[in-house]
Amino acid sequence: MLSDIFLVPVMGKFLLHAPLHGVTALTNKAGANTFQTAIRNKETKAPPEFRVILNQLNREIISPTRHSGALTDPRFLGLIPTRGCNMLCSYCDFPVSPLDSRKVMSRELCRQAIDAYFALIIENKRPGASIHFFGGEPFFAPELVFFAVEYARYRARHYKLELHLEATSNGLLDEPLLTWVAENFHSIVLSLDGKEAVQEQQRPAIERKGAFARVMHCATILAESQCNLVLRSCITQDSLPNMMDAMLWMLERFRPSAVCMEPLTESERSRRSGLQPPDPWKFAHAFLAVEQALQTQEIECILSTADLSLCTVSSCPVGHDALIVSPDGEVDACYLIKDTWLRKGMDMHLGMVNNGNFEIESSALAQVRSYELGEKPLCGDCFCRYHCAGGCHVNHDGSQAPGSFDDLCIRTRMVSIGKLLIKTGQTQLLHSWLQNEEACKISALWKNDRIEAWK
Amino acid sequence: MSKTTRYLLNPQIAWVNEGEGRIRLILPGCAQNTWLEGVESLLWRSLWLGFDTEMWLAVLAEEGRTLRLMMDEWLKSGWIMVAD
Repeated sequence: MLSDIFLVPVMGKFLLHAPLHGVTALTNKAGANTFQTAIRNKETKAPPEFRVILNQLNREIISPTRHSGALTDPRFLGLIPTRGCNMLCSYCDFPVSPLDSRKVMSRELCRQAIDAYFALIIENKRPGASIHFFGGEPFFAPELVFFAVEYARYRARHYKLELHLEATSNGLLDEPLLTWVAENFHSIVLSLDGKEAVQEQQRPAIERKGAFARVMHCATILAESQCNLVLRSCITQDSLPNMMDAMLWMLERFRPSAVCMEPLTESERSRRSGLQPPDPWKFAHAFLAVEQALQTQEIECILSTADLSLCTVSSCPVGHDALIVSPDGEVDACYLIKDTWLRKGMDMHLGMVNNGNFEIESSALAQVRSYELGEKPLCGDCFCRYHCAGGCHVNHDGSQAPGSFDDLCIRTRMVSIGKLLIKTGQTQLLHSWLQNEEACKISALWKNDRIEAWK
Repeated sequence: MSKTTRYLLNPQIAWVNEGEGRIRLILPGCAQNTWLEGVESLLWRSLWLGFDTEMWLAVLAEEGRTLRLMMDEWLKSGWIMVAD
């Protein structure tokens, strides 16, 4: 059985990374050899300076596995009040038909979904509940979100449940709704791509007048509130050169708890708008520059596929039994548009909300749970496997041979190596490594990171 | 109360959203504050945001209360006004 211990070359040295054992260290070639021999031969006798780490690496570990059995612990209830939106983002990859964009979840369906979720939570003696709002733009249906939040909190108080409330939003919120959001949500992920010129180019509003000022006002109110503000920026080839400037500006103006920098996902609309994803190498360099700049400020820098805090077989809600209810009452595992996953030959459908219950077939649950790391040959020997888990199950093809790394893999591996070097205090090495194009390529394109394969 | 009656919060009444969804009313000339909790606070926030108070009919019914009586009571207390 493979050990899930990895060695990644970094300029003649090696990052020893064993996420399941909680070990990350930098070693040289002789050290890598010693570790490999000790692991391969299950040696207990090793030079004293290696023993502390080897003891940790020899510990019994529990590997993350896919969920099995009955649905007892849904990660959260997702509500999609509407697929409609008051923005016309130049890269939007939610191809919603005009008819679907006008649909709003009925209050009765919303109530039933919340009742069904709480019943499941209580039946399985879970201490808390979590409700996430997705869109379109969820606050484009403000009355429904208001009802959902207030009703859920009313019920949660009755059942003595902790309730966490989170939403993603474009920030086109006006008073007094904005004040209510700031006072009632625990976390808002606000999309803000940069200063006015970038924001207006990439995220124009349908009613163009004053959109940037409204988003700024929203971010300001949220920043001044108890609500946890996460700013999410979509980075394109054109906006990449100004990423550092934009992030420092956001930091100074809003003091978010985290900034999330995600490269553009290509879509029909992004192509029509002439927007392109950033070069993965350049993106990784820029991301790590921001990470270092923000390090002293205790602001978390997030790239969703390089979140080292995860140890998982699925880095998104899929596979964690999240129940995401669409405006027409379908319960899915994924918040993307149904057509998007159907076109990729995937079935994220779990069931329906009906008569105050979730009607979910065990076969559908098993199908959704099967979309996980174990089914992705591409990730087989990659040191990022337990935090990236292959990224988006729908938009990233994990069926390729191990080590056939694509752009997503390159930026994930580069950013992950950089984060690990920062974590181990190797900022000087990080700097030298980033300056050396050849060394970066060796690290990022290394086909098999498993310690057993190292030569 | 007809179905079309719309109400507004009396702008003379100062109030604060507090933790756990509670609302504190600071009534003029009244030394002690008044707190609204549970369904009362839901109704208050609905009026504040201009949303339909009838969304709480089922919850009110569970608690054995009616929207009409509550609105009448609040009107009498001067906390709310009928919108034009």
